[in-house]
Amino acid sequence: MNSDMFNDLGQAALIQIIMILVASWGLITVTQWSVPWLANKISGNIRYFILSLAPVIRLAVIVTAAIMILLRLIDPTFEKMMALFGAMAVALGFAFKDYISSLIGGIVALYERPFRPGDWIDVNGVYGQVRAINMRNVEIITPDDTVVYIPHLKIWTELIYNANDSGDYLMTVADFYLEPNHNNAAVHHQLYDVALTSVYTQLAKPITVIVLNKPWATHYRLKAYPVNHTDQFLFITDLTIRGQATLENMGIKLASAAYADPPKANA
Amino acid sequence: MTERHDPSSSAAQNAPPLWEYVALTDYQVPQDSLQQTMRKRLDFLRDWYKREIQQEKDTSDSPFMPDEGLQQLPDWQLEQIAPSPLSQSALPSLNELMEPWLSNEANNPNVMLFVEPPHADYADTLEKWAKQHEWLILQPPETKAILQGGTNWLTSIADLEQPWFLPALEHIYLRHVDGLDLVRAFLDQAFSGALGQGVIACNSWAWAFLKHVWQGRSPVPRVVQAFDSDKLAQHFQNLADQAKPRHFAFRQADDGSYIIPLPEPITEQAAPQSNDNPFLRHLAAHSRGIPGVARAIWRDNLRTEPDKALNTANKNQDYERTIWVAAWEAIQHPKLPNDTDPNNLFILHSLLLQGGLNTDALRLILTSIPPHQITATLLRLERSDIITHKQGRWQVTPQAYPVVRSFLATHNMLLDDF
Repeated sequence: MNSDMFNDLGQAALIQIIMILVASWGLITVTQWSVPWLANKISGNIRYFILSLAPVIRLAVIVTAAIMILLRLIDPTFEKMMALFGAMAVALGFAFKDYISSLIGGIVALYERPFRPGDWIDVNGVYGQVRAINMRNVEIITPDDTVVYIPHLKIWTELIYNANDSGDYLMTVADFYLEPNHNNAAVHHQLYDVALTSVYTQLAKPITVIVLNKPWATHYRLKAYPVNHTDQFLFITDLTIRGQATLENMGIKLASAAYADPPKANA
Repeated sequence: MTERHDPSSSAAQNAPPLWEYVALTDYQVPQDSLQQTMRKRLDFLRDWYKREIQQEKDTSDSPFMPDEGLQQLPDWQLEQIAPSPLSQSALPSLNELMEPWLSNEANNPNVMLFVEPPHADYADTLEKWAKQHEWLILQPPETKAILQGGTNWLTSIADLEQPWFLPALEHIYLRHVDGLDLVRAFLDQAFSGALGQGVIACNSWAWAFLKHVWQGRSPVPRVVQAFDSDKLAQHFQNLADQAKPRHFAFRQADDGSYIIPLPEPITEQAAPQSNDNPFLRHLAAHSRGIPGVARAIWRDNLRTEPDKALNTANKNQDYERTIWVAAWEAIQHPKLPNDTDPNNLFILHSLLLQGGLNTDALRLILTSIPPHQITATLLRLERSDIITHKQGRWQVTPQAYPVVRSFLATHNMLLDDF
């Protein structure tokens, strides 16, 4: 790197750089605290929009601070900038390959938006709601109230399942395994009504009942959408409880292990 | 005595009738000014700030801010000034709609469907019409019978040899897995013509739900067109005029402007014409053009104080009493006690979808909420004037209806078409 690339760093410039660093750190800290706080105070869709502002603001602050510092360090000619970035990229690339990959993944995630805060995603078998998209990772909170940090690096290699695709609707499925000898049409009809009469059901979306024959039972899959994503497990619970009560009233038994593996007749 | 004129007499010739029956698709919810819409948004932020940041407690028992020097009217006087409209008010328009249908049975559908929003204030017009024509009024079956499929009820009406009228379709179903068979069978038979000639009235929320329950083909529902500010002015004046020979002038409490324009002969003498008063426009938009909701809010805002200056200046015996109306900005609409409680959401939605329910039926429908929580939520909502217990059913109050509808809309719940 050319030795005259950097300006002489005077005391004033040094103070300015320190102030920029402190101000940036302060802004980021305030943003990280205030945005989730503000979002938690608000219900409805606007909450997700506010949550998604945090990483964008942080990125903007960091980029702005970096540029401001750089301008105080060097005369920003094209050649100097190219040389500087080239050198930085090589050094950092080796040292922080995965880290940089996660950072770039984070930028790509902001651009491509495979998920956004509030979405329900499954990465590597971990299912939960996106709580925040950080620079290096995405925070999701599982239904068991556990926070999982997934590096953006995974965006390159793993399949990412987004249950609601950044939209309002998220399909849930309640499964019923029944002893096979029964009136399928009647059960189909009743399970449809179970979903139709649930207070959690989003009626703007279709309700579907899928029937499958398994070697040991008839499998019913009751598919419907809850009004609110966060109610998906309450919704499945409601469908299951009411569905089983209805089946019981119809005199239909759930498949059991005893049925799946009936005792052999005495020899 | 000066002859009474309709406030909008000059335009009355061309204006649509007060009670205008139209197809559901032609229903037009009155719109408010952009300024008022923005103010509502700001009010939302202010309320949120008070609730969440300041943790402010609402110490007021009254739903409205008391205006200095003015007092609320006693009930007997409210009944005089803003009584329930007479059921025959909408009859001429209804007759006009029904006569062609009655006279041409071959080409018209056997069954007419009317959809009404809650607190429409004209619900008994159809019943009066049916009685006038000696039609049979169908009574809904008991809850237990609905859950058993209502076969007996359906059989009892299958052999009717006279036209019939069902006043509340929402009372023959329950949002329960066993509560839909009857309404499906009834609608199948009714709209296929198997039950002969009939008229069905249905709550707008119930109809929004039943469209998902029953996918058959029904005639286009008929509704009464929304009341905009002009219609509200005419409606309120008509109601007040029922108190003849005494007449009333309605003026806004904060600036004295006339909310309902006075008849022209009087206006020329003294009072300024003020048909541009925004109160009724705000009220029409807020109540979504539903006359009963508008009337309830109107009644709650009427204030009294002897207005000697006006009476002596005018020397007008027609307007011996001025009724003051609280300014729109001074109204405190009912507030949900804790709008993040999901129990509020499900209970209020169920009440609207079923046109009101008793506690037992609510417990039957809302199996996901423990019974004691249902009772507690009902009492909390009642204390906040959101619901009331009337005719054996919990119902959303007309004053709270716009707030409740807006609350349900915010949470993406199924809404009616009004």
